[in-house]
Amino acid sequence: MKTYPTIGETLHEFVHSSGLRVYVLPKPGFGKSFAIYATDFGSVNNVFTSDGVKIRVPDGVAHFLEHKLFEEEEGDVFGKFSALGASANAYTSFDMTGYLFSATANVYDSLSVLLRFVQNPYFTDENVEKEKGIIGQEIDMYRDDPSWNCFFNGLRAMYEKHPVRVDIAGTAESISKIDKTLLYQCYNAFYSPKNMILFVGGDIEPEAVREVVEKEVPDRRSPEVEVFFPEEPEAVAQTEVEASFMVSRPMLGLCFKEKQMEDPVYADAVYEVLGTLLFGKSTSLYKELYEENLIGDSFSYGYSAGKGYAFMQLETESDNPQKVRERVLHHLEKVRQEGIGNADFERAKKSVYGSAVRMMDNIEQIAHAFVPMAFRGGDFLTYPDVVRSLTLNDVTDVLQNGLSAKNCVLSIVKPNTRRDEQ
Amino acid sequence: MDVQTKILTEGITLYMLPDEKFKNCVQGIYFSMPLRRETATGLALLPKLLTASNSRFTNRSALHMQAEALYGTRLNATTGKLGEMQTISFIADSIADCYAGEPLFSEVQSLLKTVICEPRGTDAFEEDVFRREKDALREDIKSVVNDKRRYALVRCIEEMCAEEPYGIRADGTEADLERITPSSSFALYKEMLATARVDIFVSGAFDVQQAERGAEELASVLGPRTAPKVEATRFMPSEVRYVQDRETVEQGKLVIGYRADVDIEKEYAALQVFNAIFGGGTSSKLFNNVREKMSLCYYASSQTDRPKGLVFVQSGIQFDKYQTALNAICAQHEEIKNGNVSEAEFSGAVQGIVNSLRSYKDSPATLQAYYVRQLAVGGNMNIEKDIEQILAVKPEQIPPVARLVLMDTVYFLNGTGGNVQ
Repeated sequence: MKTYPTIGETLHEFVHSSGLRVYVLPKPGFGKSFAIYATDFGSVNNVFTSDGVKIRVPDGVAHFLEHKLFEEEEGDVFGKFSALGASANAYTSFDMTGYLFSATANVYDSLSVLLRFVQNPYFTDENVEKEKGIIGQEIDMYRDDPSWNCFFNGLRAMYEKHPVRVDIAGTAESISKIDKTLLYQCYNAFYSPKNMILFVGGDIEPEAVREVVEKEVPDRRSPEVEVFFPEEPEAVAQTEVEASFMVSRPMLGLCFKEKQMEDPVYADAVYEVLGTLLFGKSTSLYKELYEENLIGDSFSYGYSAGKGYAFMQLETESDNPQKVRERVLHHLEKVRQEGIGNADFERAKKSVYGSAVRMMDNIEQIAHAFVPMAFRGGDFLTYPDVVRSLTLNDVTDVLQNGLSAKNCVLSIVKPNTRRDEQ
Repeated sequence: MDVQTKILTEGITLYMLPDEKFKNCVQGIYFSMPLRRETATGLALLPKLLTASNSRFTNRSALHMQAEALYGTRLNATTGKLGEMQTISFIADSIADCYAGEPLFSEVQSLLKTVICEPRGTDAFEEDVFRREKDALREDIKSVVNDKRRYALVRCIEEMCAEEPYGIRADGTEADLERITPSSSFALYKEMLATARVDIFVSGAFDVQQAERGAEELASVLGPRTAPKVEATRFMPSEVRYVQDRETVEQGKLVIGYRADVDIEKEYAALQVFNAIFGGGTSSKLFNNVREKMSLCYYASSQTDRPKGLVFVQSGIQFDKYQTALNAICAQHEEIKNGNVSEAEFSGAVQGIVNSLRSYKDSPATLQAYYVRQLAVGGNMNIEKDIEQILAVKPEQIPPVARLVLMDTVYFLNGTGGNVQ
């Protein structure tokens, strides 16, 4: 049991005999409980060992597997959740696949259903083929999403070899190669309990969760899976990329390819505070760009890091993306030379700390932040304290050594048709 | 959980939902005006103008700086429509005083009051601020095309409700925007301040007395008003309309608009259950048949608009699957009309709604948004009563309600090269 006095939370954790790591966050008085059962297998894991043999799998296979696990011999598992009044879902990210449910009643029964179905794959030629139509439409939906494309084009320009450049759902062509044998291969490699994490939050008893886990999780040992990543150069692959979509005004992403930091919680904290100081709406940068009508309301930034990648991205809309890049890079250089003021630094810390505390009322948000961090060896619940303990030197260090102009990519999505003024 | 209600003066009411289990507090001030074409765009501009410049903060960045200093308080000033009312809302989401270690609540209260009551200027907004915010709103209005799913829904509503206030976009139109001046805008602001119905909501962890004091102060500045209740207009379709747009998109977006010819006050719970059975989630007929059995789409779902008694189905499909998907959706509707609803489908629908309603209580912001919607329709100000009403719906109520859900408009966002009938 771990307590976090700053945020008033208590976390219970234990490791099941199978190696499954279990975390329980009691939230007394909350009506909803939420659980994620996740495996350390995401879209970037496309080269790994299966029964000791190194294989390369088609793009989108982790996501395809996520869809297919919901199928059981006796039918769809969604029905079992809805019979209990629970609502189930799943998602695949670059680094992991998570299966989840939320429920306001029958929490432990729903937890049994969750643990059981994820451990019980049922793939047939017919059900695999059927899914291709559904996922094909999911892929098409993303192909129409300009911000998603702006983001991914930026990734592809930053990363020449690393599979973070690959679309999570794959392409119509890549998923056409997926069959049931391949899905079982991936399943057997990555879905052993010691490669997985269970997180449960809500008005629940940690001991009751333990009982369900003991009952439902087999003490299954499987061979260690070895994963491989290509050597990625430090430099970006391209400095500018452009695409056209049905949008009202050009969108742009300015992406900085960063060096990975060892401590994932510290990295998130320091980049978030630095982001507030450099790209927040309180900055002179935002004020000037806005007042010159170079950008509009939307101006946001985020830091992402995972297995072998780390980047900071600034997103906005502008009629003159190149000009925005010039101004941002100039602004960065100016702050590097002039330094960050102490009052600004303390204010940014307060802001990031407050946003983190605000998240603590939302079990789903906590779970979504906690699980990927736990796979990377970090404890998300320490994040507010880590933010508070940052020093000006910490952020200055990153500013001096990262966010460099030569590792910056400009991704532009411009309008493809001339739309009438009204 | 009862809402603590206090009428502060005529037309201004305070609603409080204190709950110490939270680490957050959400303070929202909502101005409601009739949704009218003449004022929609002007009202949409006000939240932008008021956050851009006021007596304490002469520009947006200064206001953001203050929000950062207040532990990352999130200040949202927006407009939207609830039925045929336009709501201009100012919502601040901040952490509870005990986690800040300083009195944050009163600071946030005063920040909201400054934004709402203290713009710079006496009979016109400042020229340069006005010009910038007008540009920003123009971009917002145009950006509706960026999100294709939302755009298709907006277009369907626009076509379907062209003759009703509901068809007006709450963020306005570019043409109307050009007619607005710094002084006409200021006059509209004064009108909003003096005549709109005002609802003040506070939810989460906070001190009730402090919330009351601040609200009373604001009410005394604003003064009493007689805000007329706006009932949404309702009428039924005579025939189905088919509308199609062609754009450079990869996926077709199908939206079907229906009007429910039911007594919304009495039968809304049954309509909600119908909607959940039809397309409300993974236990619904659209999900299990149009997606899972027929593999036609990734999403096929339905939603209701309570004040207007409307139902919308949305799906993303291949262009050439338009007719197949439309037939499949209609077939599922027919199934419900004919009473072919399994026990699992019925109870899955009921439990799904109850699960969502109970979940609302776990978030000060969501709970507040829920009660704001309830106010707009004169609904229960007690979420438990809503849950009871859903649980009281009987399976035999569903087919008659389904038969009263009448198809009005079929909208399709088609590709430029695609072929559909």
